[in-house]
Amino acid sequence: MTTFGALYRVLLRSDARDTTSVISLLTAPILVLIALRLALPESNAIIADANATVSSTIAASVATTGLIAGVLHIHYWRQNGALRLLRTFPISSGGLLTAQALVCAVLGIAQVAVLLVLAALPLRALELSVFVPSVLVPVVLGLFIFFFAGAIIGLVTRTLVTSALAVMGFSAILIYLGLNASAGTLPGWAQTIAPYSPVLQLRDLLSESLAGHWNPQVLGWGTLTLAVTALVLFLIGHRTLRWE
Amino acid sequence: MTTATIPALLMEGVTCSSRNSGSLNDFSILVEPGTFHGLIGAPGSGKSLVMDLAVGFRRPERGRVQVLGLSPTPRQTELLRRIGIQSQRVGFLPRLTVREHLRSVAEIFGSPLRDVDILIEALLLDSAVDTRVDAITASEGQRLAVASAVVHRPEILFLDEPTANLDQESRRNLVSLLRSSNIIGTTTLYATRHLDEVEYLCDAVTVMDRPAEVWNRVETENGAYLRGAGVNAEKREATAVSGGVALLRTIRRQMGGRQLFPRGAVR
Repeated sequence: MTTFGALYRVLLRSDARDTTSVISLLTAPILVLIALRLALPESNAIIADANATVSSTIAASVATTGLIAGVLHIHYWRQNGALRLLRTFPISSGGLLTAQALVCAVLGIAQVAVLLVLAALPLRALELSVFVPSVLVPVVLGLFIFFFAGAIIGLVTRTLVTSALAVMGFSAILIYLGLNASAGTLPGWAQTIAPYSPVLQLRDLLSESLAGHWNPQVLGWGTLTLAVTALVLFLIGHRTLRWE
Repeated sequence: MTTATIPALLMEGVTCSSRNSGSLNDFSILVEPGTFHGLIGAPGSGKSLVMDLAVGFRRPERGRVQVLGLSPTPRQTELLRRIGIQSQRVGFLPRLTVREHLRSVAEIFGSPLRDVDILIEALLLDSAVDTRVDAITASEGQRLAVASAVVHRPEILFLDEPTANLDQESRRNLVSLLRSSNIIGTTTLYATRHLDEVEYLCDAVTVMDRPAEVWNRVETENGAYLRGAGVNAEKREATAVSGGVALLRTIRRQMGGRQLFPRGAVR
């Protein structure tokens, strides 16, 4: 087994044993969806446009899961001394971040799968097409983006409190960039930059995948934007994680 | 230079300062292959800084550092595969048991798992083997840290105060274990603040004192090693002249009543 593979397995096992976090991870977005379904009448636009609602919920889950996982792992490693051990391993800082991001992606995919099944079956809010596995691409890329962003926040802020404040600020920007609102409802300046926003691209890609639409322009541009953003954030994280 | 003559660790004219680990000024050290080399000094004298420089966690401001003939900076994963590191403040992979932790470290280094059980037995971790690492005692933690550092059979081992934060009895037990077991059959740099540990374990020593007052000229040819056969008179004189600092006076006082390294007391 390679060093990377062994490290990934260890990190996955460690995270999977954090039962409180895993349960929260799987239930939180479901609770949001159930609350929306129960609280709003059938005629409400949110309920009527199930695709938009589910894709927004998934995008929000991906963003939250990735960000929190990135921030908390850095702080947890610092606090419990694991970082002192991890730095002795024959792996680069980029390798470590990627291994943990993969773990985050696996758990994030489980979260999205549970959410989709719930949305399709008991809530009957969504009809799943045969193309539904294609949501994996934006989900994984989105989790990578937000995990690396969270890790960078964790690395540049020294305390958990400052990290939490930074995440709150970051979340506000995400909302403005179209995470929970369609581009048409954004302020003027946000509408200008929204087409280039990975957040909006993530939501659009999820929506297209769920609907089974294969608009090459949306898919191509969106996937490229997400992939490039993930790569840039990975490189920044790789440079920011100093072993000293 | 042939492979046989490559020093395990070589630092020449190293200057480096750190907020937390003291500072070094024109520091030099030579650790020969196969030796158990002690690095003794008071807290803040720069022992951990030497360790950090040696394993590439820090870059020197000036001077040269080589481990197994290679520069440890920039970070070289292939070199890290050949060295074992036990940091002063231990850290483990969270939520794993002692056995899982050791197996995981071995797998990460691509080493066979057969040594895991041997180490667990040798370092008396049997009773804690199924305990999660966040629930083990300080003494078990230090032993697990040592086991984690040697599980992949490194060519050079860096032990940074493995007995720190242990009570007297646990300290004695760990030192006895290190000496009696054959788990460390490799070149070792052993940092400590306890003279008795150096006396008990090491066959070469570098003495450090306050930052910027490092006494170090350690070379085998001129008898500068404090060897197991005992400290020679020439060395004692050299120590007193070169050092002249509090720690060396302490060593001399101790040497007044007995030899620092009684014959046959070390490997």
